[in-house]
Amino acid sequence: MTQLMETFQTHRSDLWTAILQHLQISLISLLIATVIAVSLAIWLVQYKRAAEIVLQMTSILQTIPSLALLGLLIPLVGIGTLPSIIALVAYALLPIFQNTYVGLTSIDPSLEEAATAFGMTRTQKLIRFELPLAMPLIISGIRIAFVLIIGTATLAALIGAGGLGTFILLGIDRNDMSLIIIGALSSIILAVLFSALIRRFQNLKVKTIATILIALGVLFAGGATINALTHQKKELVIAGKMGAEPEILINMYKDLIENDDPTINVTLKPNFGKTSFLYSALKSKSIDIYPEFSGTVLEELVKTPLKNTNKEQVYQQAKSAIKAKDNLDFLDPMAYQNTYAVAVTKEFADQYHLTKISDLSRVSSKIKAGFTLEFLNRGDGYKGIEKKYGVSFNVKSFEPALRYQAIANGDVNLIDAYSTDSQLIKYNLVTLRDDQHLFPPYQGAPLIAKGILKKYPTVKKSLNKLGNKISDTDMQEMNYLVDVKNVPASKVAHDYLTKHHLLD
Amino acid sequence: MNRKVYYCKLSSETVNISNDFINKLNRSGAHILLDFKHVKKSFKNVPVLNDFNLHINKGELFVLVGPSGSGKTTTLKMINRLIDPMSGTIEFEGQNINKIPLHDLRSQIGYVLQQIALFPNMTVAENISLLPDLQKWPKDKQRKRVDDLLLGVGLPPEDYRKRMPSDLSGGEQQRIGILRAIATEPKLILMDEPFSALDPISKKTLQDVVINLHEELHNTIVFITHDMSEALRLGTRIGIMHDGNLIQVGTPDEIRRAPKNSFVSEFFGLDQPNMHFDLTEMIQNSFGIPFDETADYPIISAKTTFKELIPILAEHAVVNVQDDNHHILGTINAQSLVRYDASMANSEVTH
Repeated sequence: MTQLMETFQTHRSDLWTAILQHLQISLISLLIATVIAVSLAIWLVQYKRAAEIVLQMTSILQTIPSLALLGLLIPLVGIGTLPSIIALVAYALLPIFQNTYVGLTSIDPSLEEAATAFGMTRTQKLIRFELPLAMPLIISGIRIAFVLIIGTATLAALIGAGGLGTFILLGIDRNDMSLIIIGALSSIILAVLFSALIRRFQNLKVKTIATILIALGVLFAGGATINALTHQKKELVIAGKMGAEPEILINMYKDLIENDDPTINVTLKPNFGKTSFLYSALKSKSIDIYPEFSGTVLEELVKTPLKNTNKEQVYQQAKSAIKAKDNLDFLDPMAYQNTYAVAVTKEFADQYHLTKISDLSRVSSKIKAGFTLEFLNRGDGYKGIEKKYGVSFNVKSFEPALRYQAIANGDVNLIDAYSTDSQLIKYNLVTLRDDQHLFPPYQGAPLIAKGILKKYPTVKKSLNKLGNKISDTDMQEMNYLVDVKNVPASKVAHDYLTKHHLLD
Repeated sequence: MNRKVYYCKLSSETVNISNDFINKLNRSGAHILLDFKHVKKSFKNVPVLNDFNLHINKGELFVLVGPSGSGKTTTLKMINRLIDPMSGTIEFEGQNINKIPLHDLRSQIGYVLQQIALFPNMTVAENISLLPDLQKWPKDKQRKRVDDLLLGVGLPPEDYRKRMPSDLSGGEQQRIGILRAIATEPKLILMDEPFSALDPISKKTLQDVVINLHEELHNTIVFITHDMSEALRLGTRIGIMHDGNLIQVGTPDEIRRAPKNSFVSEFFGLDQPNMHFDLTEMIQNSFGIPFDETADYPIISAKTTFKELIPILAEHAVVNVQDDNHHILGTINAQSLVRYDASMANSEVTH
């Protein structure tokens, strides 16, 4: 409990931002879904067949797993707020459409007959009694939709739209229960609060509700315009993958760039998502810079085989390949290597005398491996181990942070890891030597969107100050401070830069 | 006034004077409001109306009466084009109704439904002023109209204006239903079995409402019912329908005196509401309420007929019933009568 309060205190301002983001995405989606679903239902009340088809279609939309829907939207509309809103709208359509349709079709036919006989037009009927009578059902549909949206919107964090999901993802990533609880609790409170608020709409007149909806629409549109206008300034958006290390690095980038040219305003988007999200965001210029590894550029982004595993040559190959393919700039790499590793517990290593990966072939039947999905599917990951070392294990896939817990609990006895992970120390694990040189060197360097270096000439010089800086131990220590000691990444980054006189 | 007098069975002379007056009116074509010419209709190849011909004059309270399935509701709904005929024409003030813009036609025709169909989301005042409001009357004129109309049917406006339909009894609801239909003073009012779902007391009160309104406003009413006594009580002329045919048209007196065929006379006879009515039997079968010695209720004879009893119960909520030897048999109220009437109706069905 005290730990929870502590976490709450340190993250209070972040939490407010996350709640506001979460609410904004949710309310905009709800508004759009309501307008679409209600008008569709009003229109289709006259065509029973078509209404049935639409009802089927909206229920199909709802059965698509939300994660899959988000994934499907990325190639179409990229990442960030837009695909999140589209996905949330798709989810909210069914309950609102269904309830509105049922509400409108279950109105006493004698009322319809009376209204027809009085010469009322369709619009007059709708406003005078059809919508008011259907209102309790419509409102309850909107409430169901809103609770659904609030819950699903936590997934928006996965594709860089922010919101309370960042807390949950960060919590999972850092294995910090307090963060998860705060994120989940906030989303529950939002759902309950707004559900009660929406219920109050039920007794309002149609005109009042229409006025409120229009006002909300104008408010959001206005907010978006102001946002767009303020973003006209010289502004760089720097994002990072999930985890402490990228967050520390992008804080360093921000400090370095703003220190050299104070007119540039850098916005950070930490924990933005996985490699593919960041890569497509960079190509679509939703973001301008993110730290990437030389090995990842070759393996995942340009998908060309490595010529060799010499770190200098790998970096040069990556730099020219990504320039040729997407016209992205890859600046000077840092000293440390965050390469893949496979790790076992100290006891397990001692028991079977394991020091290198090829030793695993002796005990392959006893191995229960827990790998990340990314590692499982990479040519330089598990597939490479099978090919190059000729061994196969019984494998389960895990979220990056959860595999450490799994090995600590004894659910698995072999995991993949990054060589700078602070958890290696925390859980007393040993990494096995890559004696066949399967893992390519992973040197971190800023990957930069097309045209940015021309537009901001100082950026290249600022960021290259990190070239050949930060050793493996430096990085492990900094990760440990953020991951385990809960020191803010910005402070850790700033301290390192000051200590090494990089801001002078 | 004539019809009220007629109902109270005073001199039949007065009735004849009134009929003469109406017959004179009928003979001049300028007074025809509605004219059905060879109207036919069938639903899914089942004929519901065979070559229907009828004219209804301005100022008439014309009652179409017949058993269910006789085609009377279809006929009514053709007037405001809720249903269109297959062949034949209907003229409104000499003009084919298909040639009149639908909205214009309907705005001249009031409509009262059996289901009452007050809008449950609107107050009494909002329901009554619905049509004036749609016709963009000024708000204060609407308010005044609502108050006048409510007063006219004996509902205090300050008490009823803001009530919701669900707070009203069935009889009160249908009073509002009628007021809604006449709020804009339409030339013609259609009433589709408006009182068939009401208890006998409310029915009688509402029939009086219709009679009074018709006398005051001199508008034309087409009234549908399957209840012959209601038809006789209300109609200035009556049309009797059976199996899609108009069997006989005439004043109530003409029909009573000269029913055209056995169907008319049977229909006329069967529907006498006091056929099985017996106050003694009603009390013996415990439809009454407990006798209260301390209360000073009016006393009526056990031989009181159904027709006599209704106005008495409308005036006094509770009465004591005594036999010829001045013994109190029991106590009854309106509810007793409704329950007894319902049980009689049920036993008639099973016969």
